[in-house]
Amino acid sequence: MTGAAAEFIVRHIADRRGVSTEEIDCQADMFETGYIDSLGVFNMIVLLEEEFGVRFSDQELIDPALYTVTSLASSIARKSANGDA
Amino acid sequence: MPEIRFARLADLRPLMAFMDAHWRAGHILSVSEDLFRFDFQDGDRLNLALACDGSDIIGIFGFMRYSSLDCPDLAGSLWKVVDGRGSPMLGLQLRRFVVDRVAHRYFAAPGAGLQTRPIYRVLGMQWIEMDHYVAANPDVREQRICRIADATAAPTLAVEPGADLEPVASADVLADFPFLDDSGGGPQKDFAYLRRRFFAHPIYAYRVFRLVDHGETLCVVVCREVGHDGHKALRVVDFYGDPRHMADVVRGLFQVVVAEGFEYADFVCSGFDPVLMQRAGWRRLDFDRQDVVVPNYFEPFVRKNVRVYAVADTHPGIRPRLCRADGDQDRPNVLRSDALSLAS
Repeated sequence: MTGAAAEFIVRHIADRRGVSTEEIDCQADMFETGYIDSLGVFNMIVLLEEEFGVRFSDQELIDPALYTVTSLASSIARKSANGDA
Repeated sequence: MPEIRFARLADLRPLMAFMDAHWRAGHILSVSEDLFRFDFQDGDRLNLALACDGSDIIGIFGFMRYSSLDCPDLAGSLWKVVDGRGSPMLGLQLRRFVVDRVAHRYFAAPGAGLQTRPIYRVLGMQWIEMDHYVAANPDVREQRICRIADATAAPTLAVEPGADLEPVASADVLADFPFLDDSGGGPQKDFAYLRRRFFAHPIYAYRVFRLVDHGETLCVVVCREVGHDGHKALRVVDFYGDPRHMADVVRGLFQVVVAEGFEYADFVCSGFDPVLMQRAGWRRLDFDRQDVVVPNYFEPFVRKNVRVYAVADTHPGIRPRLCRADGDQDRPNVLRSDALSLAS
């Protein structure tokens, strides 16, 4: 699931930025790198929630620990495994 | 790390400057201290959370209480952060700060921008497209505000006279009306809210009516006149009571519309049964049709249909019932005594 979620996020960012998926650094802060902005992230979260059947609380989204592709994808994988829909 | 705290009266001027710098230059809340105080002052504090980086305000989240209850319903208002300052989720932090510290039962407000829809979706809130109802005056041959091709067809009104709609000059007349009903609708607005919101507004003059039957007030209807190019319209901006009396309300309003030469009366709302509304004489605006236009903006005037969106908490026991003037809506955009002064 981590792989699928990470792939989804990378593709989402690359599509919107008009770059190749190889150019996305999955360990980098998505906001600091400009991969996504504070409004765009909500569009992405909505898509992720629909695609993977998970839900994020505002408390979770405030946590900077979720600001990389890898950490966000891991969180989705954990939620899916726990049935946290 | 920005400091997040509630605003104090001493923050009022810096907040007005924030509005000018980061919302829109010349925004009415950046130039009218009276209106800012009216909207947000609550005793010796302001109903806003703000984020400060040193002496700079870098984000705000305002709120409004719909009642003086200990656990009132709330509306969010003035949600804005400065890009590139603080956490990218500073807006969420500000909202969370308020949600955690201000006792409330329910959050609901109209006036949400379409671009914010994903935010409210993630927050688990309902996204509501408000209805727009109109009753045109068939006696007005030249329409300068609305465009209703078949306006000459008067609305079908209740034939049998029922209760009467009469103007309310003083809020005290309504003191005994059961504003806080238990029908499950939200937000719940009380007498104190109505009195302050519509009888003490610093800029707008509202016309308040009550539907009376044998001395008993059945409904309270709040209206505001708007104008353009020498013509005027009557907007219903708030409604209290049982909508099953709507036919009598519309009949009474229509008498006012015809007697005073309004082009039309309209009502932007949600949570009112469309069948009941149309039986009462309201015509529901179809936003896909171009031959029927009932404008939303008057300051400045824009002759086009505008969908109004609202958001509300998803709450199993509360059904959203919203009106145009709820939250921070029906707020002046310009410093004039009323919209009619824009008509010339």
